[in-house]
Amino acid sequence: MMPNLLQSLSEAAVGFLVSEAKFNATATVLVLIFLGIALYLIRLDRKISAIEKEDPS
Amino acid sequence: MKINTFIRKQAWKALGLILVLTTLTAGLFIPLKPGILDVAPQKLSGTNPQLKAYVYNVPKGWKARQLLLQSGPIQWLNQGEIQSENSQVSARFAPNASQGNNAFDRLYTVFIRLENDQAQSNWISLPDAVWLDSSCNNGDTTAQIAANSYQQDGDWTTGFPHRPILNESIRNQFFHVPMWFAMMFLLLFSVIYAIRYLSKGRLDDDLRADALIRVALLAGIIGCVTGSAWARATWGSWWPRDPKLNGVALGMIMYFAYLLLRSTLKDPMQRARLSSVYGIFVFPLFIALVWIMPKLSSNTLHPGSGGTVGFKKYDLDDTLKLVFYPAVLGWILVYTWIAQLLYRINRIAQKFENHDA
Repeated sequence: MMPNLLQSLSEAAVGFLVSEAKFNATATVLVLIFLGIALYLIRLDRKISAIEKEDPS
Repeated sequence: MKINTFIRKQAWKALGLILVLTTLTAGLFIPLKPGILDVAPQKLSGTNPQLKAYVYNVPKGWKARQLLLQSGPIQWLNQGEIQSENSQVSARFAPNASQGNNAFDRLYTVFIRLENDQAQSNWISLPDAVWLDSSCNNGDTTAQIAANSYQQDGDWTTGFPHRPILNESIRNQFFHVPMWFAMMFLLLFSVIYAIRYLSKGRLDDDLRADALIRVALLAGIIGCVTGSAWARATWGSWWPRDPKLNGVALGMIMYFAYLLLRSTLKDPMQRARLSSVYGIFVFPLFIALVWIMPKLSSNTLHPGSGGTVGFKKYDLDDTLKLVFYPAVLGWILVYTWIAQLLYRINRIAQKFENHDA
């Protein structure tokens, strides 16, 4: 059951990546870069919040 | 703040953002040169087989005038009329015994000659695209030599090269590849700060080196994930067997070990000294794993190493380079900026810790 689901998911992903003359592969890469940096910014934000809590001043 | 100081401190960040934005725009909107996306069927059989080619980005006013199959010295020109409908071009072939029996059961490259109304010609091609079965031999021995000179005399549209398999995803060169350049440059900067810490003993330099390594790892992780998606679309696997990928995986593990090492040390001076030394020693190993070993290897998929050729060979009009180099510089600057923010946050956090103690 699970391997089948994974396989069909993977096939759907591949179908998406190669369509539009593989332009979707470029679009996916851009979304992934955005997500990576966005998640990192959220981490930094939380770190700053933690520091602000222990602000001695 | 003096205007000079402002420019010196902020200009490189603005430059980074401008470069990333312009290369993003140019990298997405400059069109691809015309090319052949695919042909059907993959295998020609029976007498007078018909071949259909899917052409891409052919500019207005250009029409397909000839279809040609070529394999080494053997050439077959299309017989009769060429049918064109939207982006589909199809024609029939009549291969015969005149060029010998070795003309069959082999792979052919498909060429299409496009002509505009001023009778200028340009060729587009798809290498090793179709298999010519021996059942195509119609027994006729009339020599049929393709008369062409592969002359390109049309004013072709400017754009990125249209490579088979890559197609539109060639644009990822401006987005996926700069991640790795940024990672390597940030690691190099971190080595410089580590050396400076060891020679001058300022803890700030150690904090800078640490922040640079952490953000370099962010770039590396993004590089891996984006590379995986691109590899599935073009090389057919999420994580293909490739020395560069294995080298990168090993190199990243070495830097994750650095994070582990650093987290176990509590004394700031000892932590700074050990992680500086570790960072300096690991960097040449990392470069060897991701840069030198793949170049020495004979079977690698990445361009520019081993048996494969770099992008430069196909980049006849420098359009790729014109976008690629600014993109690399822009992303290095933006990641350095992120690293600088992390360093400043960590420095403030450390001040508070000292205050508490």
